[in-house]
Amino acid sequence: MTESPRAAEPHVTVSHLRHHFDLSAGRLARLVSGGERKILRAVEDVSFSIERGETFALVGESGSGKTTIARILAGLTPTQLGDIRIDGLPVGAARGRSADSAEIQMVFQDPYASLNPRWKVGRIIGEPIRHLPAEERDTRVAELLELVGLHAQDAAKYPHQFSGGQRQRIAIARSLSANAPFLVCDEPTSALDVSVQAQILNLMRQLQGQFGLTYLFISHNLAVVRYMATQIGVLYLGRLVEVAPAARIFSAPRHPYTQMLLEAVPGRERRGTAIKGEMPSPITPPTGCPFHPRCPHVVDICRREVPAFQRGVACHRADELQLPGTAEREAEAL
Amino acid sequence: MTVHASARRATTAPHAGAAEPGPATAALDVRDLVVEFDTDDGPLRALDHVSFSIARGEVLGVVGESGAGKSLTGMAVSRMIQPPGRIAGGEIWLAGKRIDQLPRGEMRRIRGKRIGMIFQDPMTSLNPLFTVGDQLAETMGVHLGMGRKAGRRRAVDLLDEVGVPSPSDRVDAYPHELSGGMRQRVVIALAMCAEPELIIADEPTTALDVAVQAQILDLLARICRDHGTSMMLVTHDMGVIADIADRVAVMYAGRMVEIGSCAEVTDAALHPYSRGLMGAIPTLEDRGQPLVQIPGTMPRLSAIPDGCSFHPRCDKAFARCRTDRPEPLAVGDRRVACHLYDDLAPEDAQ
Repeated sequence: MTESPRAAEPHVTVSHLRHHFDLSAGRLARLVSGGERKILRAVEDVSFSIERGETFALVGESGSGKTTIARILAGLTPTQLGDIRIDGLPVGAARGRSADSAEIQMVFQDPYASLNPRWKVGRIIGEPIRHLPAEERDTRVAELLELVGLHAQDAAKYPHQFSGGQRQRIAIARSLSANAPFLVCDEPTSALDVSVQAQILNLMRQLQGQFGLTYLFISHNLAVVRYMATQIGVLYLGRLVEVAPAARIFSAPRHPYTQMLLEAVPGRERRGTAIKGEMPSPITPPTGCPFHPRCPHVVDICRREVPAFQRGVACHRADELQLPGTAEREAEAL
Repeated sequence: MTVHASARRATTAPHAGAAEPGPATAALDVRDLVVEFDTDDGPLRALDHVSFSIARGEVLGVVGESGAGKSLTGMAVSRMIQPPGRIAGGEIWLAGKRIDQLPRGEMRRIRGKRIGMIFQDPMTSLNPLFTVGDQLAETMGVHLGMGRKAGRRRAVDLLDEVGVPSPSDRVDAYPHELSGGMRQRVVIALAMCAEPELIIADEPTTALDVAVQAQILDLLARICRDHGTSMMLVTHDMGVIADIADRVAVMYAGRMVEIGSCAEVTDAALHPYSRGLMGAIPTLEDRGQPLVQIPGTMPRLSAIPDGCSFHPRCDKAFARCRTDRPEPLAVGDRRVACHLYDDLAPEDAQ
């Protein structure tokens, strides 16, 4: 391992990630019934990188592959094809370096399911650092509890004694205990009420500033993403269709799907939408550009060829289209 | 359809910005509604003197956090509260007819016919063993006395109206053969098939993706406009409220703390709780400042504080907030339950 080039390369690099789920019936059953193989293409050739201390948000509808990518990055789903590097080192190697520096931690959506109900909070938060001497570990747990806005004495309580927002604070404390510099957050506030969501989002931003954390942030809520993200990747049927700095995605989307997502956000400024149809099944994706059956700008080539991902967008007509952003939407509403 | 929001709102909302409708003209008028749950330790008050009304063709959004009582209000209006819960006081008037004391049998004829209902999960309203056409025809048979054949024909028309593609085929589909968005369209068709005066929609788009949600919201707005149906829209999502509601009611710990036109409440809320709630919601514009945090959490029903139930979390609270319960006060076209707005409030409190 070299010492110096850390700053020169992105903190996290994901290249050509692919993940297919085989949903076919068994071979014999297929022989008997004459059924065909069913492959769910959850992730198709996804590449992106995240700079140190930044928040990269993945947005998209259900079934677009957001959670599969998160689970692969966190090591919960084995990598089928593709390469994940942290500080330029393949993830497995990075993990092997030393036991106390787990490189990636995850914060889950449902704080009622992600904490073991039979463990005390102190044990939950101390789990990633269980190799440390008990005294050191207890000090660290107390420190972390204070850091996320709880009390040191809370270590002796069980998860059921806390509200949803407090449990998400515990989950965040656990993800920080081993000093992981990279957190994968899968819909961390979707299960929370808005006032509690505000507390958790503010806490996450504050911790990021304090420790220079890197976040992969997954959400279907574009307003939440606007508040948190520095970079945004838009997923459609397992493919990245656009990647850009957050402000640019909202002011000048380049992919028609990105624009459709922005138009669909409910609010006073929303126009009566021209949104067509629903996302097709990832088992039988359309030919050519996966978005073409719903795209208002479709031309012949879109039906035949999958557009290459170039200069931040995967659209045959990206250079000629001028798509309105949210600023136009507000101006028109006035 | 590329109508601008403003135009869309103008057509759906003849009452936008207007004061509350009087009981004679209102589609729904609720006065001092109290709902209690009997427990071993005595009754728990889950709704505490809730009053509001909805004009014909108007969409009233009811917003609040989990446990504030918004769904319960909808259940009380449709008289679906089960023991140990009960309506312990107040009056509910549906288009000039008092319904809170009607016997069960008579209420059953009103529910589904004059009050339509839409819930978050379409499968709670659909029977998985019957085709959607059968379910629509049955509902119209019960409430409109429509025959099987006529019912089926009407079902095809209704599916077409709610935007189900190829309705003459889909009328024979079972619920599991439809996507979530399509199922919710069928539920909307069921809710409106007997031409009710009022639709109660409880989180109708919460389980849907944002693009499908936009389609369903447009559909609900169109139905209220075309049929003059009133709607009580219960949701935790202020974006959804701002999208289609004419007026909005904010609930906190079983009480209605503020009610007024959607634009006024979202842009310039009066009650400190609604103000905090609006500031806590991220928006598509970058405001460049942290989200507003309301300290603490909503109290349990068994431990509602004296005086104003929000006072322990309120940064504007003064002595009287801890002892006297604030009654709803008229401020312009709004009503707000907060001591800051009566004459006895300290000069500098607001």
